[in-house]
Amino acid sequence: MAAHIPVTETTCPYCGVGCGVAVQGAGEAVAGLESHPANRGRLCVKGAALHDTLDLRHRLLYPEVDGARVGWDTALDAVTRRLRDTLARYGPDSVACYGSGQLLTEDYYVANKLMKGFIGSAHMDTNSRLCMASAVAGYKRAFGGDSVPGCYEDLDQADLLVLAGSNAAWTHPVLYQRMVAARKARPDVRVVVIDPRRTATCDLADLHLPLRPGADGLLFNGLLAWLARHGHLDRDYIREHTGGFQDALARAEADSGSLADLARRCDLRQADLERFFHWFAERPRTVTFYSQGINQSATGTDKCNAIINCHLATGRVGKPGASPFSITGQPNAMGGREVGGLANQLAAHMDFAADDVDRVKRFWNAPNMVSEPGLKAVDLFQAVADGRIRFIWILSTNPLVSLPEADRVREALRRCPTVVVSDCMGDTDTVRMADIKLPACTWGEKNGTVTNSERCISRQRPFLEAPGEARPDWWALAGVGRRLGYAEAFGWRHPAQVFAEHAALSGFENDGRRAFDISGLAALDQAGYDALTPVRWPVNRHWPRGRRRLFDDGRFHTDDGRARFVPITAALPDDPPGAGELIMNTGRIRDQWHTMTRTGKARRLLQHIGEPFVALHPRDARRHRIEDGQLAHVENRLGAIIVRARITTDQRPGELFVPMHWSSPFSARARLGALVPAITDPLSGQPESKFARVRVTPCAVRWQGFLITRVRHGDPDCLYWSYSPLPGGHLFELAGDDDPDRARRRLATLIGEAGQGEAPQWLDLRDPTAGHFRRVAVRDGRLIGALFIHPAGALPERDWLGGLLQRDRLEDDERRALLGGEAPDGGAGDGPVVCTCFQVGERAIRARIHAGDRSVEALGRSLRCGTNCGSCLPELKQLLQS
Amino acid sequence: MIGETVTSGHRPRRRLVIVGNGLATDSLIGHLGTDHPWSVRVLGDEPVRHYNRIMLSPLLGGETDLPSISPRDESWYRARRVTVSPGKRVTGIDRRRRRVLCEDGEWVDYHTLVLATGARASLPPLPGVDTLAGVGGFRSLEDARRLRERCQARPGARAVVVGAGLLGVEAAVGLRRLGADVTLVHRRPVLMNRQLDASASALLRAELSDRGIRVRTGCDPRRLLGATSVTGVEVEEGGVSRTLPADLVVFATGITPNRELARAAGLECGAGVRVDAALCTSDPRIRALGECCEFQGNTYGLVAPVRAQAEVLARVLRGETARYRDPAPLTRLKVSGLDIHTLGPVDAAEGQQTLWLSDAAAGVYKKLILENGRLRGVLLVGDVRHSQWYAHALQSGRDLGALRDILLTHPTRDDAHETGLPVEVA
Repeated sequence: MAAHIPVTETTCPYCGVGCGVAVQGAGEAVAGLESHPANRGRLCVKGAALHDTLDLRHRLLYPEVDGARVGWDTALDAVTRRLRDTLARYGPDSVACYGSGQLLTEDYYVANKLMKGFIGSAHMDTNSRLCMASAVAGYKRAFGGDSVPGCYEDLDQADLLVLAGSNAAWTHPVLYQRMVAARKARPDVRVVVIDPRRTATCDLADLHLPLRPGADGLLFNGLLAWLARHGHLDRDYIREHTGGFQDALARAEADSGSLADLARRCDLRQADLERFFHWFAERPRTVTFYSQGINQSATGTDKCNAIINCHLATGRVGKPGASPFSITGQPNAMGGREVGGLANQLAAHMDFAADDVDRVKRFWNAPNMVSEPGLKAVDLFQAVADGRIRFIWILSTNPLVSLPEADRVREALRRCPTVVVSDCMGDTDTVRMADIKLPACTWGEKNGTVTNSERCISRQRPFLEAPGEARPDWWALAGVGRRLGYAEAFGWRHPAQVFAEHAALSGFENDGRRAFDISGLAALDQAGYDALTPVRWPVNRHWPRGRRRLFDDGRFHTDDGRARFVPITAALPDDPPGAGELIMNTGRIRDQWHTMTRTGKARRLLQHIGEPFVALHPRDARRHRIEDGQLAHVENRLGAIIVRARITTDQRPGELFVPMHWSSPFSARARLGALVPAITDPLSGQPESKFARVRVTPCAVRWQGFLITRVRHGDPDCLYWSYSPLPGGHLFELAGDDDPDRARRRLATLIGEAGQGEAPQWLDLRDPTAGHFRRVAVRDGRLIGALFIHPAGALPERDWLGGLLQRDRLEDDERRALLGGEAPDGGAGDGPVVCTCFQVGERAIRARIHAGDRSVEALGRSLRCGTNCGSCLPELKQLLQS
Repeated sequence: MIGETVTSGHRPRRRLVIVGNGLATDSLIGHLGTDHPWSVRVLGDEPVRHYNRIMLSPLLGGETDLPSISPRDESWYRARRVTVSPGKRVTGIDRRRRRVLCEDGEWVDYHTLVLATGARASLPPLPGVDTLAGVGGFRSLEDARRLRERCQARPGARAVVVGAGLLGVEAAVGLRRLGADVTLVHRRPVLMNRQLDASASALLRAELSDRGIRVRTGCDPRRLLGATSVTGVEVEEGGVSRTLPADLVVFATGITPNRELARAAGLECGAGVRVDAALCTSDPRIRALGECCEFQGNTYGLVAPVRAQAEVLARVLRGETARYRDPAPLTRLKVSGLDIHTLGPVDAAEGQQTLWLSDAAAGVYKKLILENGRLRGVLLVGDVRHSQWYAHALQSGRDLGALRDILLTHPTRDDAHETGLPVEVA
């Protein structure tokens, strides 16, 4: 009988869906957790590849101070000393902390407590500012608290799903698959996608509204006015449970004008607009599912309220299948907000009202309680830049990539006297700037809780020993708290104790005034904590087993218990493109996550899209003389990137899309944050990441190529490169504007293996007149590297050569085929991977279509593609149609 | 009986006489086929009816034997109405009466005469070259027999092969196989310098060294030493004189066309017997081909042009119109496992471009010369899988621009994709 392999039930560390994951042993395999309400056993491709990201490559394993490895005591002493010096000379306002939706609730709680209660600085913000801040501000204005009314079951039950600014098919695949299933089970369900781009999500749409970028607020104002005009309001609900309707409606009517006018200003067909409005009117069970396309805007908060206004006006809040539903990007964005991880919050859904400050001060017994909000992310780094902030501790995030005007952020950190970075990875753009590096535990090693987009608190449980000297962030933060002299306040020995304190604070003098109340979990001991099953807050006396929906009783967390309509004057982005300029939109791709520090380790996640790119409409491509697959400069006054052009009618003319993920360890010049202006929403502080004016020009290169190596010796020295890991090695795509022969000689030094052994045997192909060069190194019968350079990049696919890195000995015919770069049997391979789960390539799929497969189901039977996570189904359909 | 079958049916057949019985003659007879209008008589001075001279080196090394390299049998000749007279040396041509005189006194009449008298090793004018035993060339059965005997008589005999052209390399390998202690000396730095460049030469040199053959380049023989038999070769090497002990010396420093017969008969000769594109000498009744002839200033030592000449001459003799053009010479060499194929010039001329591939450790080297996208030169060492394809491509002169990226590695890929059949010919 097979030995019993222990299974750890934990939570995925990627998006805000917060799927349960069952991990076998020490990460030998992962599967969706059947019992978890978020995913019921499903996983997306990123989650399904989690076990591929557990290796220790590129990990930060030991503390470092000023470039020297030290022990933890020395490191934390150094942090404390520099912190004290800074406080002594410049006061608490000179200290900041920047956290992340990747932190566990416990880590977050300790960071927030340390900053706001003991160091005395409210400059504690997080990357959730880039993701959720507008949604939070919108909820608070409307509902009196940061509360998502609905739950994921509403997606199953809705008759109308409106996806606004969300490419859920790629960004939240498991929820998207729930929508797909609902649509299939109930053909009457209608799906409307509101997005300037035709994304993979449009595959599910009955109606796609490719509106003018930024016109969402106008569209929903128009909807509100139309609903009122045509008698589709829920007058009773408005009267009983809300306030401010007349003002909001008057403003919406004034703002949106006639339907024809509205359609023109949204750049939509009037008939499409009307169809959407009719569907909205006819289907009380409506979920409006919105994400970064709404939030990441200078008017993001207003857009959120424009959406919520429509739901309040029709009584569609907190009812089965009927709610406005913001979906978060990060696994613990909501957990961070619960502990007060943003600069304009205090803790446990308390703000800076005097009695809140006093309450938290008493609970913490805090000597240096803050009384005013701190600086939000963009302003916070501005304060670093101008020297007001002189000490910053960055945890688990990569602001040098993700923040707007990222080059300025880099300059700010360069000038900052003390930069402490806690991270699990040893080489990120931000870690490169650190004076003190603290090795953090990562997924699989961490122990704590996260809260997903439906308020569901789940455990992240460890199944791996922490490698090297990696430690949990809460432990490092508490260590500094104790060194500052607060032994009692930071004396926890286990995350369960931190969680219990956090839970107790949530219920402290609450009396039902604050939505977030998990006092029912405050008595959990360590065993109870370890056994905690997913539960949706609140968890208290009234809701001991959690609560599925909020506000279903029509009672809100405002002073009078009524929800608030917010009058909205929709504003289009006030920075329209000038002559020759285009609008750059940003977002995620299917198989990557954030700045790739984790997903960038899994080769298979880079097979779908392996290089940074810019998508543009054929008309713009012609106008700017850019060909498909060519490298292009995208630039503005703030910065410049070089990425590969993808020409597609999925883009509206005049608009570009660039993925957000690529950072310096993954590409030479693709940090798109450098191009995003630091324009923020005045209420939420969230940056406008979807609307940057840029120019695009072809990037003149003299050669393109690739480099495969066993050992990564450094970054290639050439105009353009992008990196992918390979099993047993590394792959760089390359391009240069210099002499190809000189580039060959320079770049070939990156091949070769550190350490002893005989010199490598070199295989060479040279066509100097054409500028075509290939160089391969073999040692002891094993491939150790290959450099291929061609003036037009006409080179073989990389997978065969890359795969040889895993071989201990090459056969004679393989060796003879090395410089050809193709398998000796002439096998052309499967082509670019479409289905990452089952590694099915485009060529194989086309072959099956040619052989008679006429549906995705048939393809699934033949090749298994699309039968696991389903996120490639839109592409399979496209292939079938082409 | 020597058949004088001069009549056949109702019309007398004209007599075609061929002097010499080497590769050119064999190839010519093959191309003539069985339905030609001639009665053919071949007068050969070697004692056997036919053998394949290309196989002389394996024969010397004992890798093959005479029957194996003499594939033609009586019926093959009979079908072609060819009579072969071995050991029949021709000493004169009487052009006026259209007949040749043999050493044994026989006169043989011809309607058309073909001279295929070949070439002989050209021995340099060094002291002792003509007098000392153990010195000679490597061109004939007789040479092979002599070298075998000498090596077998004296195990471990020290042999010096002078000249590392194709023939010299083959002789060295054959002698080494016989157990001789072989030194191959070459005046130039590059071995087989008409076919190879320095890189290919280095691979060949490594291969020869692996076989136990000492190779000395930049080494020029000055004098042969010995009283009756040769005992050594005095060479000059980098300005220094030294003596290489030798029990036998083989000169492979070049060949001299056997044109004396033609010259004595008053035919126009240069280095060889001059012919036009129909292989016609200055006497319209006399044709010449192979190593004895000279066409547009060129003489020949490789197989491909000789075969091409034979094909042209056969067509002319069958009454067709055909004109000879020098083909790019494809040279093949196989030295115990190391294949070398070359085609066309070794180095790029003005306006030509060179492509290289090398895997020195695996003994592989390829070099292609292109001009306006057309293949002009091919040098393949160690990996000759595609040499047939290259030969076709070179001869057809087709534009290979679209294949340039894969020309060195897998030029046949797209062909195979289109036809579903491998185009490669081994």
